[in-house]
Amino acid sequence: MKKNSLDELFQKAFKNFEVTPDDSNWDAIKSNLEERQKKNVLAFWYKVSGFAALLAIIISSGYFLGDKSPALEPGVSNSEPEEKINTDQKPEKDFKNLNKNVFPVQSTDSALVGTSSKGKVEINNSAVPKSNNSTEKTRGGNAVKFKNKPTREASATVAMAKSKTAVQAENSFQSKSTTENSNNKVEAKPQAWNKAQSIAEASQTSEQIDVKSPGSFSKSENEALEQKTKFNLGSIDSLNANSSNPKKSLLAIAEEKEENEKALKEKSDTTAQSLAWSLRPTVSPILYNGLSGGNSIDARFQRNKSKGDFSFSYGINVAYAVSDRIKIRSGLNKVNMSYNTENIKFSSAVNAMELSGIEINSKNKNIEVLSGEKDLIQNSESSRIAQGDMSSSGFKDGNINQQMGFIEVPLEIEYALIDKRFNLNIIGGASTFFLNENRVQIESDFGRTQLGKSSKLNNTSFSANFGLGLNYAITEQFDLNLEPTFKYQMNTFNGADNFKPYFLGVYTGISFNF
Amino acid sequence: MRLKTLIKGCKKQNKDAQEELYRKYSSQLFGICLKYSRNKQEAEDNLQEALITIFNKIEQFKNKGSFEGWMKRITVNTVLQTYRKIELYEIVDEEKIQAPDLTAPQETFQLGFLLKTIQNLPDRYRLAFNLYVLDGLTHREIAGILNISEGTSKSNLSRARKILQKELKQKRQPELISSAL
Repeated sequence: MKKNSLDELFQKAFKNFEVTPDDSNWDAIKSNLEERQKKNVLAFWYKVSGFAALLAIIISSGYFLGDKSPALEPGVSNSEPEEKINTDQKPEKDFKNLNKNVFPVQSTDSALVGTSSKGKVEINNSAVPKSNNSTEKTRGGNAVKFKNKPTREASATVAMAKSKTAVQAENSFQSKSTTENSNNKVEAKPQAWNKAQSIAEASQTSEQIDVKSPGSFSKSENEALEQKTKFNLGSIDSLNANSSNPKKSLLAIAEEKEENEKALKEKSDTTAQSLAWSLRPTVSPILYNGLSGGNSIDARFQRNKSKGDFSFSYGINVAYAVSDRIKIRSGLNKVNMSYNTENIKFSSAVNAMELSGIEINSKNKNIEVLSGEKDLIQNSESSRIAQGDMSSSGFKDGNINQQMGFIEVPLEIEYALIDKRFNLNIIGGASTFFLNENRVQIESDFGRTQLGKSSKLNNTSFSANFGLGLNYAITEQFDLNLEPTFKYQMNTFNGADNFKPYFLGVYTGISFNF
Repeated sequence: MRLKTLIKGCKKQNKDAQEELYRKYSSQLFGICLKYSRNKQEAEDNLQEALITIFNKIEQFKNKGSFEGWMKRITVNTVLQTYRKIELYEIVDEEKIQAPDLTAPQETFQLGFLLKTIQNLPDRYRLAFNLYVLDGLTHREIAGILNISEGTSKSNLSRARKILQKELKQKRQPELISSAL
């Protein structure tokens, strides 16, 4: 034998060398693949959330930078907002200043002097004694409620004032002091304007200056703390009309306030705009079913009882408020659906009749599946097996279960019917569905057999969506959502015209507004 | 299921298609793993690794050329990667390359015995013997794959042959067969 005889020996021996591995190898491979798939899904969601977070950061940073835009400056600059920033001490200072000026005036019973937070604008209020202490005609400016926070010193001063001056003067003082404080509050805290404005709107119809009795002010500090004052610019004008000397300064104040109001209104618009976006992770139980009672698997099961199972949908949605009441929404959802065709019979057969709607695995080619409904057995092409023969020929009872999974991309419009803390919305729109899971299996007492996949499912399909949205604002930024939604699916199946699928979901989630 | 449908299903990560592909081709691939690996256990590990790579990379198969060939290449590469970490270099000794005639004993041997003799070879010799003798690669190709010189490849093959011949002569069949498969 030559040099190559050794090689030849091995070449001959290992030609077409095959050894069947143990099944445990497949189990290990399968679990590894499943794990990787899960990781891929997680990675996908991490990417989506990361993108959403990035989007949120970019947009919110854009709005925050926008807040510093000089467009707002002119309106506020007249009153030097930097210096009017309200601190806890500021009202006290105002009270102190006010008190210093008040005593001399009260001692003469002729005028009331107030100070503004910044400019110490004096108001020689000679008309105050004449004015009605409970009602003043207003011109329709914004009224602002606020919680007055006088210090102990302030309340003591008021008490002293009461002892020295007439009730009318006291009332005027209170009106003035609270007025000044309300102005400070509004000017200094424009970011709180939303709340203030909503309250102001509620009281806008009121044309009265509501001043509580000074007695309560001096009686109890707590009551004073809770005191609410409605302020109207008109009161200043009405006072001003009767005063001669300080007319100019009062007009100046009025103009200043109007400008401030304009600025604040702009500010509130900006704030409202800055909460135009919302991000909402959702989860929903899904009930899938067909409207017309057809069957998506095969026409032979048309008479069979079919019903959908509960499954789940989860995803993340983004909404943009184009106006106070209208939002445009989109997002990404994973939707799983499950549908059962009951009362079928199956058995192994040499020349099994194929089901038109299923692409059967090659290893299950020999499974014959028939409807268990009597009339169909006799009338259909499967009548070659009479029902009597079924049990004897080894047919077993079972259900066909169809599992479908989609990635849903909705595009919807939300209209707010009630736009309060509790919102009621109607939602309409459409969704695009991308098929990503498709399985058909037989379920019976003997276990579960994978048949294959549905050949009638389109890779891309659409739905018409209609729903009701119930939102509850937990805070300004977070809303609790509950949305019962009906989605009617179109062209989901190719060649199953009788089957009109739809699904119902109750989407719940917490939305983050920014 | 036709091969194209099967590949398509695997590309969509359909579990049934994956299982069918495994049932259809795992025997061939396990044969390769057994020849290239040290023992059955490592062959199984390599088979699993190779099939996971096949399922994860199947998207890259564009139906150009043989699918079986593509899977076999992945399997061999997977095994080579496992043992490539181990030092494959050896100083080339020209005398060893020009070794005297190596002839196989004039007997018949059980397949299990032959397999075990291959598995018992040191890694670098086993890989060289498999690639050159059983899979028909040239020394240049082997040198490229294993990142060694052609001389080293020749030397490795020569040593492998010598060891195998010695093993066959000793006829240590009974104790070897049981542990090969």
